[in-house]
Amino acid sequence: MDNQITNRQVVLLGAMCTFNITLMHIPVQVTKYAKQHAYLSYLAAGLVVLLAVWLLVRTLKRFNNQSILQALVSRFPSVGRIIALLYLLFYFFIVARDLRMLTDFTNVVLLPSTPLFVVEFIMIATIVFVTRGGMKVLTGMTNIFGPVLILTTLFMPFILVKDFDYSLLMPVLHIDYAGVGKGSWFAFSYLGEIIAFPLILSSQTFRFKDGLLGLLCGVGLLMLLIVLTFLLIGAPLTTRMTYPTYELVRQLEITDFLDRFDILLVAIWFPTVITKIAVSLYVVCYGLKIVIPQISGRMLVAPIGLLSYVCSFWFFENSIHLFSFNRQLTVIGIFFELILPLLLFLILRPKNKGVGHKI
Amino acid sequence: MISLIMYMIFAIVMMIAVDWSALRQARKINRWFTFALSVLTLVIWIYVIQYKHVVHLSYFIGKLLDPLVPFT
Repeated sequence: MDNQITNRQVVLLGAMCTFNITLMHIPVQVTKYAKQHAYLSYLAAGLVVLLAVWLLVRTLKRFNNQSILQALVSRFPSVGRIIALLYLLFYFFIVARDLRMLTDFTNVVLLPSTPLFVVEFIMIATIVFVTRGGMKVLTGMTNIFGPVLILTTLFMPFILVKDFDYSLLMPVLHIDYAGVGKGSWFAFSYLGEIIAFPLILSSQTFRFKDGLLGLLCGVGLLMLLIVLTFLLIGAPLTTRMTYPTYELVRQLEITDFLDRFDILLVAIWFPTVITKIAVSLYVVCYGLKIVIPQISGRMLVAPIGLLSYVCSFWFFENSIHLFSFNRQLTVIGIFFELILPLLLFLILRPKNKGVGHKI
Repeated sequence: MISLIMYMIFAIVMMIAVDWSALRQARKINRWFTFALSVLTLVIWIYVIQYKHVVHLSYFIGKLLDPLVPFT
């Protein structure tokens, strides 16, 4: 199953997983502290995440044909299972969070009269079907919607160029480094979710170059979007909004008669978020299969999906609470995306170097 | 509220019914996990939709982790 994924698909998956959920709330919080230099915060957070990816890829290279979770459980049966379970719970939390974020966005922007639980139920049903298809369906969906979204985002500056106000980016050289650092605090845990891939893919499928390119693509697109937001809307107004990227997209006008052009872009972006949540759900089910080998991961996708559905209502009271939890989420993110990868880099080695190890 | 609980029970029953033939042939542990997760789902759902005060988990975790955030 692993061998069917090409490197290009891994890069696209990585880019989608870092980019399409981060663009919702994070620009507001990053801009609040970093002001017009918020793009530097993404860069700073991206560099730290790159270190975590490098640590995990170096650990992955020590094991042939095994993912980090497989290697962990085969090398340290009991402690490894505990660490794998912790990662499962982390990604389960991410599924619930992303689901709730997407539902609240849909409720605010697209379907205001439809009850939240109905919207979210339709989403989780779709996500469960996507995840049950396995890696093939995930990569297939990313293959279609990923490049379309990337190309659309890259074309946006050309459509918006006539409305740019360059004074909104000034002063460019007067950087508040403390503010940029505080802004990168918020971006870190979202960008760090790319570490899902070394956890579930082997070193033949996931190389450092793929992680680097995926992260570069994701961070680059985020930087582009926030610069466009500043050029059109400005940093002070961005901090007052809940969905600044959607407000940016609303400024797109191709011709006079094409109304609601933002709906088209939301329609291109939406499946990529469905895919991203499906990837996180896949990580949970894959990890559960590694921890308890008798389980069929595919059969448990639906129960875990349904549990994440109710947990998304339990974990967060409303979207504002979800928004403000980003502050504390980075503490959890630092543990799972920096400390644990460092620990794994230091302790996770094959039993006998050069000799085959039991699987 | 009762209607919401009935919707959830219906969803759980449909979920198990769709997979029932595969569940019967698979190992027993899959059935146990499916039923346990379904019961957990129902319990959390009933807790979340009740009228009394609901403790949301991330409020609790947020309060625990707030001292560790290095800036205000």
